[in-house]
Amino acid sequence: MNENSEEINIDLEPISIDREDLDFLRDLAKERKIEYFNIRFAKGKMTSFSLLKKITKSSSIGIGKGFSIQAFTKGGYGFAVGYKFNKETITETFHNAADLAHWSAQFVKSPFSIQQTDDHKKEYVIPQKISIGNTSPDKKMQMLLEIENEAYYDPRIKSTNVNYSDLEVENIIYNNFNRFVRLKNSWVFFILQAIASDGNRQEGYHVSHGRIGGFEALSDALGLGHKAAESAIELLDSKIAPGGKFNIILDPMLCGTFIHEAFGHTAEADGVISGESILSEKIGQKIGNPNVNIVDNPYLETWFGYLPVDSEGTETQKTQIVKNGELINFLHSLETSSRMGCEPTGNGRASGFSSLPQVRMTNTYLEPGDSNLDEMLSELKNGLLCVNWKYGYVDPIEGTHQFKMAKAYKIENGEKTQIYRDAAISGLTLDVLNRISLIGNKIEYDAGYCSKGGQHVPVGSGGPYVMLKNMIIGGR
Amino acid sequence: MNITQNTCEIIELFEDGFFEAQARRIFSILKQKSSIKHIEIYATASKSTNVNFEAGFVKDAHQKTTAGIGLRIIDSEGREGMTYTSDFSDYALQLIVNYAEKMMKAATPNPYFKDLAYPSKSYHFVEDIYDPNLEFICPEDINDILQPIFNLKERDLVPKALSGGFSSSVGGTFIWNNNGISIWEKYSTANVSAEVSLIRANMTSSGFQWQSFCNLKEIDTNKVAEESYLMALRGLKKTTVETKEYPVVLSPLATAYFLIDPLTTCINAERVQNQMSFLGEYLHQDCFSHNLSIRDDPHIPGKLGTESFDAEGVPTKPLLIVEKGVLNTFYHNTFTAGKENIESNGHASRSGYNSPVGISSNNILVDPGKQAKDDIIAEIKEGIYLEYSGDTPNYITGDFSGLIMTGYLIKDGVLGSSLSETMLGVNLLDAFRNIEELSREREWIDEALVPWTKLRNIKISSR
Repeated sequence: MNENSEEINIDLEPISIDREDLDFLRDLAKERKIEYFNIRFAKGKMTSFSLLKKITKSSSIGIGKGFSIQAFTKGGYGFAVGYKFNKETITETFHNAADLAHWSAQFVKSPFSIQQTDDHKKEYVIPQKISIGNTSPDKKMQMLLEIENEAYYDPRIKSTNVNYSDLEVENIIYNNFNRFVRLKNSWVFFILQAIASDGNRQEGYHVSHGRIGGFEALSDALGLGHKAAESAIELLDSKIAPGGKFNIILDPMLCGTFIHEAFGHTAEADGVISGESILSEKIGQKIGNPNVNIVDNPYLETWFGYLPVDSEGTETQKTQIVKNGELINFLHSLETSSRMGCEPTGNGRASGFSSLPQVRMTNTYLEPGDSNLDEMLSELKNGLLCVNWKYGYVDPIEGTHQFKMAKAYKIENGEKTQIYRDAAISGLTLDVLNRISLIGNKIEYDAGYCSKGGQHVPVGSGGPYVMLKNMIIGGR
Repeated sequence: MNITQNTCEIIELFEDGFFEAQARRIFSILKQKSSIKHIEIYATASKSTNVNFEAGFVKDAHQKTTAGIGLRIIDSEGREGMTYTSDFSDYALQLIVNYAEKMMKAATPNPYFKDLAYPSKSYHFVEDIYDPNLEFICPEDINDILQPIFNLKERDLVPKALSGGFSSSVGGTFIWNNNGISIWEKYSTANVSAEVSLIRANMTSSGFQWQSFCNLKEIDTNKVAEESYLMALRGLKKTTVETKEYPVVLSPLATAYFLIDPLTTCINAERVQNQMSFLGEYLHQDCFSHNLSIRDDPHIPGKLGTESFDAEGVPTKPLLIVEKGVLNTFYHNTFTAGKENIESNGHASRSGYNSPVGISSNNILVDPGKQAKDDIIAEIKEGIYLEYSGDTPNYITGDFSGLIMTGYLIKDGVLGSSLSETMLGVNLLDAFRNIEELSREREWIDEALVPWTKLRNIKISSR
């Protein structure tokens, strides 16, 4: 590292900082009576394209670098951000964070300590089969146009909207326990919306795809233009969903959103500690039917929540949250595990270097059961088959949740009949896991960005088809 | 204790001409390139201070500055390349110039692009959107500001959870282009929020409230504390209702998020031109209730939506969006206006130096009605009061089905129990047509001044 000088090599050359360069911060922490700190460096490049009706609305490349320091003492945190990777700026930023931590600590009523982490130095590199950096913008644009063009197979498709982004970022995480982690991460995310019109009505349908890794991920998106267009055209015959109580089957995409929103967020330990989760007092208790098993698993390499190490430098792990209907674990960061006296689960994630790590999910899913869809439709007999999602949200305090489905089919005598649009499902978390009756035998997943406290992180969510009894559907 | 260095070097970046110098450096590199016809620099810088609390006590404090430059270049066939950086070194600036060229070459031609904005003599610079007190605010000040929320711990029914925070930001926006625009404007924001959770007889309820203004003096933390606590208290008695149609009264919060936000989203000309708006076919049509008139005013002192120029440097101006039920206009930037061979009406937006150009609203003013809100509620024998739904409509069709996150049963003219597992479904065009009354009282919800609104015949589904 250059001392007292500006580092200018920013085009994805490795960050030229090593563990020894940061040793001085541990002495500084002792001097400033800081019990715990972490410093997180990032340097990255993001490419984005936005297309409307096959015309570029925006094509951009952004480059950036910076670092943040989170300082902790006696239960109080301070957080400050810097941009120049030199000793002078790092020292100054450390003092800012330390001042803020001491200030915060004076108000803390229940002080706690951050548990020690192992002293180690590790490097993680997300493999890219096709290098994002070596793929030209022309090639990227060509593939996007190819996927977008698929949508126009039918003259009823009047408009399309494509958004693509890829990111290559190098992170360094270092803390006062001498843990030094270097992570070279990369991902691709793609979303397409097709608009269909028959002259009287217009309908839209969106599809998305995201993968941690290299540009090869976009190959998986081939065919999505056609898929979105097909559903948009199908929705031209849709009716508004009737409101009321129904027995329903969720498809794997909606099941994933349901598990993520209705349950996953309430299992994040920061909300548990602050009294803002309906699950606060439920550990060790039955909260669902015995066939309900829920997992957070960052090791699934093809899912968008794949993550070998979290933003605090903790190696990630597969966490069984619900086993046979019993709540057995929460998801933890270093802080929440310290406060609750357990091991961190590697779920401390920040959306960028200038944001604080929060407890976040990675890939969360309902484990498969033993039913197939035909059996489930036959058992349902009359009700709704709910397909794909638009969005979802949760109030973890009251345990209410809501998802908007992309489409639904009326099921009559076990057969799909009328298609419905814009239906919403609502329920209470502690009630709804008991309404799961049948669980499908094949799991599928979806990619998306999860938003919490203004931060968006890539996550995967999934599950099999699942049947729920007596659910409230919002419609007209 | 002096917590931080209380200088505001961020504003000095603008005042000292730092960004203009950067723009000229970039221009000097680019002007050699004959393929580039249009050049635009968009720079932002801000300094923010945040304090978050948990269980009614300060938990952490943050301070950070951000600054960056976004460059757009466009060739004679409308191909656009954009780059951005938060690094102002020579190397980084050279790099973004190179990247911009690469991206411009990769883009498709855009026959609809006409030109960037030109300098104007009609910029209306408004006072009071920058509060110098926020330049030097420190955590001690914020702790004092938050005390009314912390004092909720002294209530008879003590909150189970009490979280939220205060954040402030000072900053500015600079725009330069090769048509001669070189302008900047500074702004500030202050925001306070609280979320309260109460438990009584095994029933849990939450309440929230927030305020955002340009000036610290307008923040009323007592109101935030009281209203968030009251919302949680009201939620402790829950009920469900029979599934059927009811008259619905929207609070100002619900009016802003359920009615006004979708409307301003769907009069975005980009959505309209690409068949993504349920209002696309209704320009100059009598499509809303006749008691509805809505204006967009970007020049109200001290309001969050106030600005002298839009994100392309086009002067902003007041617009009458809806006049007695008739939809008068769509929001345009130079691109959407160019497509229709009209002038932009100054609604280009960017969320930062790294974001592409979009379209957004400024301050929205819904004309008040004549009745008092209490009288509107008092006349309802059986109805629903919607305080808040977290849902958004289908912008293409206008269909809405959403959860009543916070709402109450109105019985014999009085607000009663809180609603549980209750949902509302309507097409927004019908909702706008079914506006029966607007209250004479109005409240600011972020950038919108809105009344209470009564709708007739809305389908409510409940367990």
